Amino acid sequence: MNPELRRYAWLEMGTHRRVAAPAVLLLVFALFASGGDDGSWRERLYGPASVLTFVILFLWGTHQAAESVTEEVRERTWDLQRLSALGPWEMTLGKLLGAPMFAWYAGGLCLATMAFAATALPARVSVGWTVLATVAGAVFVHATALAASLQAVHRESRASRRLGVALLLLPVLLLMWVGPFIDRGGMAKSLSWYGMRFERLPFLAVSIVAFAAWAVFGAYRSFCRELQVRTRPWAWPAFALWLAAWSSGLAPPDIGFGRAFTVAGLLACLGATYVALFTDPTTAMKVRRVVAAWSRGDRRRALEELPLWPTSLAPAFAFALAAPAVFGGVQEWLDIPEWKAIGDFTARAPLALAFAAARDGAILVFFASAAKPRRVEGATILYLALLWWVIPGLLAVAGLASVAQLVNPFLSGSGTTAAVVMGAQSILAGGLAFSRWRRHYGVPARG
Amino acid sequence: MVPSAPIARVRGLGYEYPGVRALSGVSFALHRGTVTALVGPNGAGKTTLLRCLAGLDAPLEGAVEVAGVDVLDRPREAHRKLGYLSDFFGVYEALTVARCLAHAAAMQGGAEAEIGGAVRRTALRLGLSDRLGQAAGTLSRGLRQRLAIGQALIHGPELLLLDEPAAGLDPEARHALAALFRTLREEGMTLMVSSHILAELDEYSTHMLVIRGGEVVEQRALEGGAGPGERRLRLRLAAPRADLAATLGALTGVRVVEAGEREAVIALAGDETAQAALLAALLGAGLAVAEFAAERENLHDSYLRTVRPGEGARA
Repeated sequence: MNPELRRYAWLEMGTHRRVAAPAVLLLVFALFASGGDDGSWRERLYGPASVLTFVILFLWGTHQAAESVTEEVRERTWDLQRLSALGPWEMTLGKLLGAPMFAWYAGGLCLATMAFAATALPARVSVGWTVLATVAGAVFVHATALAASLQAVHRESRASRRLGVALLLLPVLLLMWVGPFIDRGGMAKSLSWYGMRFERLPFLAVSIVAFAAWAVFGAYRSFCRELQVRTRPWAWPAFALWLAAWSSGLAPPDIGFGRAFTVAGLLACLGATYVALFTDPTTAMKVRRVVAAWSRGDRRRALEELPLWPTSLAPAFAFALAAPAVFGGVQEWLDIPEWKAIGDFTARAPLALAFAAARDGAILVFFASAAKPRRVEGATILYLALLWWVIPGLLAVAGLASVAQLVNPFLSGSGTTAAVVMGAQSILAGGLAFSRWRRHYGVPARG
Repeated sequence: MVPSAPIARVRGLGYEYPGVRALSGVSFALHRGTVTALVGPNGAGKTTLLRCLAGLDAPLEGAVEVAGVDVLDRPREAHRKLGYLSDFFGVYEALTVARCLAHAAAMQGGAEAEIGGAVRRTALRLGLSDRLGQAAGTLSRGLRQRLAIGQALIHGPELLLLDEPAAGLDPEARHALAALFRTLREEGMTLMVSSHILAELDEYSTHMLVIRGGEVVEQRALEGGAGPGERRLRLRLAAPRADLAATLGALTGVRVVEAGEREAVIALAGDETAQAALLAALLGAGLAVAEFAAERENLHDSYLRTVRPGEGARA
């Protein structure tokens, strides 16, 4: 048996809890089943069982998964874990299934009740797909939380740890946002993916299974890093490309796969770059490790030490260079109200967007290269807000529109101008970041 | 006697904290069945070195090999061959002592059928047999320390790394710990122990590795030049003899470590019988022997002599 799984079984599944959980749930469900006049007693169970499944399996389980590593750090047992001979897969599965073990036990009872009640509903609900989507969704959020917890291990303050966890949970919010959006597109009953028609629920269930698999793989890669297992940096850009391939299938068929994939690829890679920028700590020492490995000709080690964000920024540039050639005809697809700003930017100046991500990355490295870096992500977000919105807005209000365009060149309306100005900004930011890094970290003092 | 093969090799190890070079060009080897005292001032890089050896922190440059396994390339495999006790360790407070030990054994890949026996043996060795059913969180500081050491060695590592293992222990517990380390050494385990308490290290260390400013200042056997199979002896005369070094050097089985006109330190190949024969030979050579005794170099003196040349206790 997986040792971590067994340890959690010792901790979480004591006799009292094993007996008390079903007993308490039975009483709660009996209360709901016996009260009210709406439908049969089985129908009345569906709502409470759904809510309890969400609360126990999703909220509590996610909390347990997120705490699994930070608790080890707090209790100073993390070194013991890292010193084990278990491989990253064993550790991933042990933590992923072990930390929320009791949530699976109690939540599983609620899910079974929900499935039992669903068969009695007047409107037929596909129980199998619902259960699959729920289980996969829970695995997805647990694995994401576990990965977030691993990313937060090296953060210097509790506040930034919370930020890391919060930002890595963005995919959950994103999924909640995308669902109704697909509905609004007139595909409530079915949807088209690469020209094939699918019922909405099975499509979402299978998609969530795929996202869950990626989340588990993400947790595995995070464990690899913690356990000093060497890996090459292909997973993060591969996820961005997969996301692009999945989402471009939702584009209207007449746009064409190549064009849809280019646009989705650019957006996915840029999104992945910004998510990585604020969740995967880019420290001056990490840069130092890359530079040191590169200097001694160890290219493999240099790649292994790379922060995540440059690995998705590189394909973003490739998509940006290809984008102008394929943009014709996709403007309408991008012209979705919720995505209008992104769509406008993407269509107008793809290369400038990639340069903007490079500049923003350089700004973060600049703050990370301070002599005593503190609140790096917070300072970066503040300065990005100033550069993207506040300063250009103030300049525009003051009647200095042309100066505002130098700060935020997307206001110019010209893709070429935007690319040139943002390219210059990224070079300037990169130069400042490198200069500061070299001053503080290029030649370290003796210990 | 040829020294045993190294169990650990460190080559050109470099490590940096933000803006600070913590380790620089650190190279050394640890031989099987030795206990190396890792000593140096605060901030010298002792903990960083131990963590790099254990594969917990990846160095900026250099190579670490434990029992033939490259720690940087195959850390999980290396962990089966080493044990490490951090200076700030934790135990699973809600688990019993038996479960803590069983979990540690399983985490190191111990076979299910053997874990029970390993738990009992480790508990017996560390004096925890009567505490197996007690929750780790209710143990005293000394017992927790013993449990943590038990977790580090339950899988029978070839190399055991300990960072301040006696911190917070009472004198009795420290004495028991020293006895345990001597036993482990006799069983063939190799230990590296970092501590500020030199007197404690003196009880069981065979070698000393001095680190300062992130660099190895010295590594040597504490017998002070006496090699394997040799005993170190101090000789003091009642009256000076200008030819003392030459006289000693001419004797069979004697190697002069240091010699003045009235005092000398020699390494003698052989046992107590050889020592008695040597005394007779010295008296026969007309030396006015006032003192002749086995000497083990004091770690404290040795350390001071290394880090402050000319200020050693006997200097």
